Amino acid sequence: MKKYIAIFIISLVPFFAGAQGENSVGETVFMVNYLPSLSLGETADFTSGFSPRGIDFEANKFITEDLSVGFNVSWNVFREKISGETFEYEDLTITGTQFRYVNTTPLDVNVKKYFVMEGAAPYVGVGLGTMYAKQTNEIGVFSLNEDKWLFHVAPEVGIIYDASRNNVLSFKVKYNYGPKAGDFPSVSYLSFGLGIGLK
Amino acid sequence: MRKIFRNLIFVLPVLGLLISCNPEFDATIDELDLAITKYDKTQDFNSLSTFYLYDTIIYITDDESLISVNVNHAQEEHILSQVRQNLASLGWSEVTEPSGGEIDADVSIMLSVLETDVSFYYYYWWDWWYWYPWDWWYPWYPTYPGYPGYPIYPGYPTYPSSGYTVGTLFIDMINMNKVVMPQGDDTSIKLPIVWTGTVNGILAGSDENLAGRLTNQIGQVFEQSTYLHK
Repeated sequence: MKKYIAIFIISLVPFFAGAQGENSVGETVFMVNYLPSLSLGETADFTSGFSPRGIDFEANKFITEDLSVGFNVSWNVFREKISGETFEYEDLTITGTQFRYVNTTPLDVNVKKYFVMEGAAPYVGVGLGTMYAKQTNEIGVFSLNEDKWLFHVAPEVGIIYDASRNNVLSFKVKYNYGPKAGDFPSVSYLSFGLGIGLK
Repeated sequence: MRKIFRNLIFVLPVLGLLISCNPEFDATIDELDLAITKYDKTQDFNSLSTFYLYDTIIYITDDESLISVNVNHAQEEHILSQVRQNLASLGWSEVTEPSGGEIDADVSIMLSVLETDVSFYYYYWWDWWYWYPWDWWYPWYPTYPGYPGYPIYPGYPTYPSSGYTVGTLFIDMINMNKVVMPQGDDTSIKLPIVWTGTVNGILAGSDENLAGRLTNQIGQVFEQSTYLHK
């Protein structure tokens, strides 16, 4: 994983030499973010730890110089292997190696408020929408699956940097939360986004 | 620079997808072994202490003939031995000889084996479990005149192509004190199953390897059934 991050950072170095632009009303920024994430709460109960598997795409249109609205779609996968644990499933007691996976795909509309500074603009934002979440427990030759569409809220803070007139870099921290729905547990995780974009 | 940037914006998602797309763990064969148990929660197991081990393993087939020519019988003695040893080590006493044609034991242990070819696709609990008579009562099977009788198993689901063979060993414990046997009506006899231990895994590897895995998993079904411990 460190290798991928190093390649990504090195590849960005040339862009810091570029001219800096300003956000214009009506301008749209398209971003892609590498999105490793840390599972929290009931998501961590099922698949604990940090997952390097995540990516998101977003488009944000500036409606004023310091405010944008847009949409975001992301994908994260968490996984954990649990060996030799005994658990209950309905009226069965089962012992075996569990291969657990959580897949999440939030679809959000978001709003971001920028604190305009020279070259780099810190921002706060929030995304609201829905999230498709799927929990899989593969044990033996069997697979236990549950999935659900959940309400999704995702506050975030970050910084966007004008690397050149048309190119931007960004870093963000986003908290994702989908409340419990029926028997399906709540989903929560903290994402760290490192992105590049065009405007 | 813009061109490079445009390239990067395509490369990054591809990189992300490559990292994300192959999240599956690689599992070894023995990591796919399972020990599954189910028991009648109304049964007081302290009142049961002797067992009779039926020394014929039933091979479940889809044609109800109870005869299969394809299954591997090499592990039969090992399975019987392991079940016997585990019960004995938990404090159960074996009754080896029926008296007067009837088994004078609290429970009878019935063993059955199912081998199923499956594709490389995982299949789901509800596909597999629905056919097994997860019920406390087995219907009487008159073809087996020797006591105790054994049920007909419904056919198992058919799966496309063959990737590997999955073997399942069922260890059923019948409470002989509660057998329902109406006089003159062989079709209404019912055998209450108070505990079932199931060992499930892929049939691959040497006989020695398979025997080791069977030893572990048969031991596990008894170990996790603490209510059977004397």
